[in-house]
Amino acid sequence: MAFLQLSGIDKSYAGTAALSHIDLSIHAGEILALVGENGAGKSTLIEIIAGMTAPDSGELYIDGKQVDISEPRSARAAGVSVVHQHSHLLPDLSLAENRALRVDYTLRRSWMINWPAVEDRARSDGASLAPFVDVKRRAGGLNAVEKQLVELAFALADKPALLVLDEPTAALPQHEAEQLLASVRTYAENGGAVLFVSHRLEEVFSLADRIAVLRDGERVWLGHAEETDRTTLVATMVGRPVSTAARQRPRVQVDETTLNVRNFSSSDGACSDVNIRLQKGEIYGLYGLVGAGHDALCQALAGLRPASGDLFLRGHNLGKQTAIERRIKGLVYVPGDRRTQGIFYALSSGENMAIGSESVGWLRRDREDRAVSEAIDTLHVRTLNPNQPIGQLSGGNQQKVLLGRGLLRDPDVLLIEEPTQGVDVAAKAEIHAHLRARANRGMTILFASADLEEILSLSDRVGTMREGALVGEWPAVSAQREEIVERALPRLKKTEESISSVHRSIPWRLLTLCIINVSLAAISAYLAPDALQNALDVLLNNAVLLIGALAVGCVIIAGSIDISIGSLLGLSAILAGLADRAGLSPVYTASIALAAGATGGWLNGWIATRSRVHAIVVTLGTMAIYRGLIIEWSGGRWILGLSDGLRALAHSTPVGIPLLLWLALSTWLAMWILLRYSRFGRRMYAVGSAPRAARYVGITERAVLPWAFALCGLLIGLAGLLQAARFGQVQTNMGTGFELQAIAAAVIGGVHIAGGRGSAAGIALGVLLIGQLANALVLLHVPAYWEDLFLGVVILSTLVLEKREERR
Amino acid sequence: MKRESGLLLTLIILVAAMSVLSPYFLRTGNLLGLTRHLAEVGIIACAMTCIIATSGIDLSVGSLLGLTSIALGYASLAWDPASGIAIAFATGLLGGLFNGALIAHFALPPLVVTLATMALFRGLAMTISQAQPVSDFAPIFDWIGQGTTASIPTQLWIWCIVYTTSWVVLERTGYGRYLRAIGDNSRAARAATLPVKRILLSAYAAMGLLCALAGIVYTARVSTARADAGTGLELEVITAVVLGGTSITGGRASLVGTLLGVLILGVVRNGASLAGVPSVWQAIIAGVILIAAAALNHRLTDRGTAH
Repeated sequence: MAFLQLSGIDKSYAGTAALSHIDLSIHAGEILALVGENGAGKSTLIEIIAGMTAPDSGELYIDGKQVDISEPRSARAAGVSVVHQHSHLLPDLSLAENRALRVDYTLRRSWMINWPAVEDRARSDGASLAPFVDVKRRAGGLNAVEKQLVELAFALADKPALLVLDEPTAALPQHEAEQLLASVRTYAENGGAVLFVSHRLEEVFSLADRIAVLRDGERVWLGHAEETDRTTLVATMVGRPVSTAARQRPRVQVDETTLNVRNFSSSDGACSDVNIRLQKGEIYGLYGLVGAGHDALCQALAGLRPASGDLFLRGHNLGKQTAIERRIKGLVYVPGDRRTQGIFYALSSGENMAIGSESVGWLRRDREDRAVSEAIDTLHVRTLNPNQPIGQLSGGNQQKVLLGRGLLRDPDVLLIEEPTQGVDVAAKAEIHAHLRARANRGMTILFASADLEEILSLSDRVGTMREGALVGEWPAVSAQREEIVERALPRLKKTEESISSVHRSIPWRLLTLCIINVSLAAISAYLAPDALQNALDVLLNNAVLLIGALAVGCVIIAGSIDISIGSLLGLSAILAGLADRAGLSPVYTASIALAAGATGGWLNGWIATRSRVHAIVVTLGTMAIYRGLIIEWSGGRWILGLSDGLRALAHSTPVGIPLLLWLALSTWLAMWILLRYSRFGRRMYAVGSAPRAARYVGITERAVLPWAFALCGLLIGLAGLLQAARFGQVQTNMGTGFELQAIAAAVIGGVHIAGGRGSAAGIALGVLLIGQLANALVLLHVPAYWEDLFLGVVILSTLVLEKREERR
Repeated sequence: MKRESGLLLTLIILVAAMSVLSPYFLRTGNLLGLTRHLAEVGIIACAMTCIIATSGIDLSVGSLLGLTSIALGYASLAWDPASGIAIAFATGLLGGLFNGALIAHFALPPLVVTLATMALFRGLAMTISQAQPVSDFAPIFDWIGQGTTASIPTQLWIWCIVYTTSWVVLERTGYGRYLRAIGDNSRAARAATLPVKRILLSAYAAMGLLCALAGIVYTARVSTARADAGTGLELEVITAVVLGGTSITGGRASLVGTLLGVLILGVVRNGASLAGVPSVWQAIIAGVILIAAAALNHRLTDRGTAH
């Protein structure tokens, strides 16, 4: 019986069928290769098996039972492990932790995570393919090869019943690739099922038992590997003999160099020392495997990647000019990944085409409409009108719109990345024919593609790139497919080269903060009449801020923001004050304040995740609402004369140290443990680091965020309570501006505003810095209102420094 | 346009309800008084619509208004009204350029940058004025803030001019299209070689200028330059813009919606206070409206396109 069986799977996006009626089964101990051109539907099929996408219709059976894999977690629970082409490691977490998230920290015995055990487990799980990697490193610091090997090693260590590999060797040097294939073979011999997608047909034939071919979303062939050969397989994938009409058409030979690229290298090393000379009217195809640098070269030539070298366009050197200047001179770029780099979904199809050709000033609609409809005619875009939203167009038509955008700019040289990625066969032929027609009228075209058939059918000349270098060049008529592919294949590299050396990062930020804090403390000690009392005052004055910064820090780490905390602090304080005035005991009073805070926080998170409105808008709204409630419930009056019982929360001094400090320090310790050792804490880091990748390991924002907000609210409730206890009275404007201070302390302490990074230690140092700065101003007799000024300056300097560090 | 019609209908119903609740509501005096306050919100909301369209945000507007108010007060006392106004505009422009430079050239998140400059500008205003208000202004300010031109409050004219200009810029120029494109997909905007940095810089600079304009109008209206002028204004402005249908994630902007949003909020506030609703409830209502409107936006755009 088949382990996995798919029956009648259908899936379409915006009216275009990505998969239609796919039947497929995979048996235990079998390796099934899935092949097809780009856009044939392979990725969609894998997403469905991985539980990332739900099919429109059709059934999945695992071990004969129909299953509903609606999320990645259930897929993995059913025994399916998927390694995607692009890394799904959470960049801000260590490798050990990435591993632990996949197995859900089941190693732990207590509720606290046992980090040494987690690291040992990751080390042994990674040993098969990635023994060199330090599991304590941040995943984001790994290079592509390392990431791929680690992910494969972890997937194999899952011991899944079905292993799904999407282009597993695309990023790998030959040695590692062979090693990987060997482990996959061993794995299947031991009874595992493997579904494996690859463009490398050599691998397919050497590894697969059976082969399935997808074309335009349909399964067009399925059979044993021995029943076919390379040529037949390619013909099946393409669906027709490769058209050679374009390349055999004699081109008018013009001996006039349009583009001359000399010693051209991008600063990041993605392409290096490239020399290409293009004749007028020539189409030059750059072939390369993923990561070979052919696409990076296009971007660098367009001026979108920093690069050095000479770039002559009709004799003028554009090497030092910006992207905009190059475009004006006639060097026009059409991006490859249209979803992320091409399309403006908020603009209409017509606007998408015209954008960039208009002036910044007055729009000449009539002229623009004429140009657009002309382009629509020549490109055969099947849209009713240019006002149609572009999201409703098929992939092929979207691609034509992008091409139209390039052509409207009247280029001398067109740089295109992947001109027909994810485009159906008919549209592809039309795009090719159109480009050829343009070239015949004198346009020079340089395009990059990972699709060899496209390279061969469209180009006059073919260049192959490997590891950033141009390694071969042929006239298309005499180019041999095997030779091109052979050159493109990565060479055997020594492991030392592909695996970067291990660095332990030094916590520069914490060190800097420590130094600044120590210096500030020294200055204050010098200035203050009673240094010890002054130090104690600083701590007491900032105890509440510490709690608030930890609170908002959690939310920011989880990738969100809460600016209502000032109001919420006031609200909790008011409720505590009212409860106290009503004669309730301090225990009840405290519970009320904490409950109010937690409820208010949770509500913020719940609204933000449910309505999917940006948290800044939600908390801007609740900021006003909570502040309004304060006035409403307090009747606009201050609450004075709180009971001694409540005041004791801040003022009693067990063991000679004020209780306020004890409470703040134990909160800090609790949060330190929670952030570092609890599953919930680590989940906040996971969703904040990369929400989509977190979904793969079953952690959703929906499950985490409301509780992160509730935790934040709980701490704010505590802060409000302590503030009331400390002053013995509650003002209606209590907490105004508190959000700014708390967020500032968190950001200064190294909590990354984009989420996923930050620590309790850093937050404490950030709070201390702000507190000491304010104290120093007081000691220097600077008026209190200067504080805001300094706060703003400190936040901005932190941001700027952080950015520079990132760029380095 | 569906959303705008809905907002217009809401506005009409609100006006009808308010005029029933309070006989004073529809009196010319009340309506004109209402617009005097709304002009400040409305002027800044025009620029905020453009900024939010770029998927940015500016929380520093209230503080910058305070800072320009102080700059105007000091300069016009020291010299004359004209140089006061010039210095106010220069201050606003510098503040806006400062925000814009940090956001465009250092690629810092607008939220944190403007949160920081919110403190920074307010701190500057406080420091310069030492928290003391400045009053005693030349008659020309009475004309701007309390007088009328062709029997319509002067600041209403100013608001009209700003609004019309903004509408033309956003809807009829390449610049406006670039603003929306950057907010929709900034990577694509860079790949299409749009002048992203310059557009962002200029948008925040324009915001600074309009904050200065609103600051002048405010100062003239209350005849006092105060460092705490405009406190909480950012909430009102952002609420109006989001209520009007401009998407906080960028790409979609509606100035017609923003105008209706400003008017609805104004009518709710004014009507509520005439009807004796305590002012705290007005803040609560504004908060609820903001969240509800944003949630509604999301529903509508979700259904419109799938990407």
